[in-house]
Amino acid sequence: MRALMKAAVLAAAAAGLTAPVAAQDYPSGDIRYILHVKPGGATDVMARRLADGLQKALGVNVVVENRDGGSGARQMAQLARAKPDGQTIGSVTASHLGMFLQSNTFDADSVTWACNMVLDPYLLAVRPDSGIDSLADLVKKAKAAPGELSVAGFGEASGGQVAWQMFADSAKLGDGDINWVPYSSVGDAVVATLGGHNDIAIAYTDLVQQHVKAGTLKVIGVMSTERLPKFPDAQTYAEAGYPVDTTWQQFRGIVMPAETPAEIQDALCGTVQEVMQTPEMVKYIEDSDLVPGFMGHEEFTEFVHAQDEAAKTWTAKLGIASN
Amino acid sequence: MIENFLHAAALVLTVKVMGALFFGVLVGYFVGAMPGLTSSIGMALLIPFTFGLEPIPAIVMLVSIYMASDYAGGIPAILVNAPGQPGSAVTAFDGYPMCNRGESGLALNLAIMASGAGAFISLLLLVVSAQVMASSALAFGPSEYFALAIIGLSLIGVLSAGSTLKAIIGLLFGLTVVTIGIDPIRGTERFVFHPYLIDGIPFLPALIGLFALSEVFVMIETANDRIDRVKHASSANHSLRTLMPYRRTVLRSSLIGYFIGVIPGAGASIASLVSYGVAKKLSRTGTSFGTGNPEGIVASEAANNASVSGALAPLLSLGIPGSASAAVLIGGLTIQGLQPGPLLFADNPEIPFSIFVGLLAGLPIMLLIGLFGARLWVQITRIPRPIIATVVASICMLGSYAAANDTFEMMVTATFGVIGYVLRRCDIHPAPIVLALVLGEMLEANLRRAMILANDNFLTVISHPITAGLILASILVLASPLFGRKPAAN
Repeated sequence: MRALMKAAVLAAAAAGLTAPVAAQDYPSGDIRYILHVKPGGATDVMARRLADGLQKALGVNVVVENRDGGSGARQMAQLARAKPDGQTIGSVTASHLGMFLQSNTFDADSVTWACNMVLDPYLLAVRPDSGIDSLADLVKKAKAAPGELSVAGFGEASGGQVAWQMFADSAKLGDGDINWVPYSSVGDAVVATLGGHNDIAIAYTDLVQQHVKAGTLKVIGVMSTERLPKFPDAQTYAEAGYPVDTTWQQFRGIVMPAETPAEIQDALCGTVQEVMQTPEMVKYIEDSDLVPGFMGHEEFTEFVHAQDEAAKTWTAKLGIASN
Repeated sequence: MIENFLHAAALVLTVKVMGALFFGVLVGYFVGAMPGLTSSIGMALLIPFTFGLEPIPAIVMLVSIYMASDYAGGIPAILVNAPGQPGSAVTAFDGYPMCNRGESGLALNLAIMASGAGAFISLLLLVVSAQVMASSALAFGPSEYFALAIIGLSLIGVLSAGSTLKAIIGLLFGLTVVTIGIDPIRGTERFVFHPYLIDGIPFLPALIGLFALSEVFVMIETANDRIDRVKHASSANHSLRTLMPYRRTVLRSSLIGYFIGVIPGAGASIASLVSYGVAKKLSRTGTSFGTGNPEGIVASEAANNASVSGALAPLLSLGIPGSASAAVLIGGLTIQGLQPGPLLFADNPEIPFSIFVGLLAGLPIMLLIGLFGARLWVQITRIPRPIIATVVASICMLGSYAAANDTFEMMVTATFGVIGYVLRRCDIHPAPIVLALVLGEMLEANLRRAMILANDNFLTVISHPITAGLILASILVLASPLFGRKPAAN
């Protein structure tokens, strides 16, 4: 933490010397908002809503550009090339951390972490006819028949797999007790579980809640400190007797090119925080079942580096390939 | 149901919604005919415009883009060998040779009418079976997808016009290309020599290079050949009767397209490849497929348009996106505060039924634009070759740039243009390569997932009923040349 503060002070001082851009002049023109996702998905939709709000609040155009590809590497390349003056910003989610592990070119220090907007806790869902009623039940069944059960999630060394491994570790499940099956998206993992090809899915609220309402899926545990309002019957891991680090969550935030002055990050993020509280945005977040989780520059930087460290530790523990 | 239909009709048949529909069709035609711009890109571009619209016009507009772009994808495929959409690559197999024979007018009209028929038949299927079919979408797990990819690859023998050996070389080349990128299971990098290759070779730019850019090189070689390629254009017969001889193919291809469309992740490209392969196998004139047989165009276009309705079945009844465009549509619905999922039919029946009515109302508009437009579009073939080659080359580059707003895609297109040209000179058809590019990842990732699920026992993987059936079918397809009528080799 102290090191971080020091870095922040140094960065601020350096910015004062080299960059004549002052926060009160910000923004000095149109803002480019570079997304790492294809148009149309949940992250894209939310970013466009935010861009709309920022545009009204700041009085400049906020131009959304989709630079998807390379699991975020293409967007990172764009950010790396841009001037660190706050006129170029980017979207970020936990999936970037997975890319950092795989990439030789980019890591968590390739950008500066301006602010976080929302959080999304992981949860475990099963089919109601799976015979699995609770987390304890799941653990008991897995130990009785190792290798019979499988959990579906996104990718390898991903946020989802780390989240799963935290649970498995806490429940003292051994290697091979439950098979991890990587899918190309969390949505695919949910579909495979709905179809009965997998027993358990590790997912988020908005991907399962319709199926829970329709009675085709059941949430048996949530990875958060408190129960989720949408699934009041689902225990938290700790309640079930499997305490884990619940700060490990999916997140959606904003990054800027490395060395963007802290005042400029604060200037933008102050507006972001305001936009997040407008009635339209609040309704959107509620409808999409996201958890508001605003974090400013320092808090977000600390949060992300902790997550990055955890990802490295856990993937090393798992023996998952990473660079 | 009738009540829901009447209610939806009242909602859709208003000036505002029909305006949105017409606008959507125009945009769909444009993105569809432009190589590199796909329906999902077109839909995503219009999503910000739907912020201010009510749900019905917004959704109808998005769906009409989806539908119209699949019609339009066949136009450049026929005229300049540049598939406008991934699903229309197969249309080029016979469409472009017909165009070179001066039958572009006939080819275009057949493509439009087969598209319309495919869309109409599959729409009827969607209306009656959306909720039933959704459950079959769920029946596909890793082992079933693996078998689906196998049956797709088994079509290689059918698709290869000439030498089987050359077809296998093409297939292996394609499969090698899809190993580039992140390993789908272990997450390690494979042959990632450039940071952007982390997701593999982008499919669309590669397709544009293989088909369109390599054709440009051929055009340059033959720039001085004087041929009139529009001899039948003006006298093209616009009546539906042109399609009558192919009614069985239309029906069969529409069914194939619809059912493949229902399976999430298997879209227009696989639908048109399978439908084409089956049509070639069953047709009396099967041996002339690939040299400008109208039936090939019909099989491809009916199937790729039918797959659109297919993909809407799991979307509307389960909230599962069956294709990239369907995923964008989910985004569009979410913006309107609607939650696509198993409760959509119960909570908001006006949405699925407005989509049905909107698609029905859009059909005649799309057909008319297509049929009247064909007279205009065939004029392109009158343009001297040097000019057309230049224009197509620019469009290829523009299209691949637009696919991701990046010059990297242009380099991919250029590279694959050269590769495609060399392969052509070696007489290796692009069909097996496309087959491998489309199915490669499905094959690998799902086999490995299925092996994890089966604790590494391959017999358990292939003992699933659907898997076993599909694998048996692919063995029959592969072995069939050994029995029965021997297809004449070229």
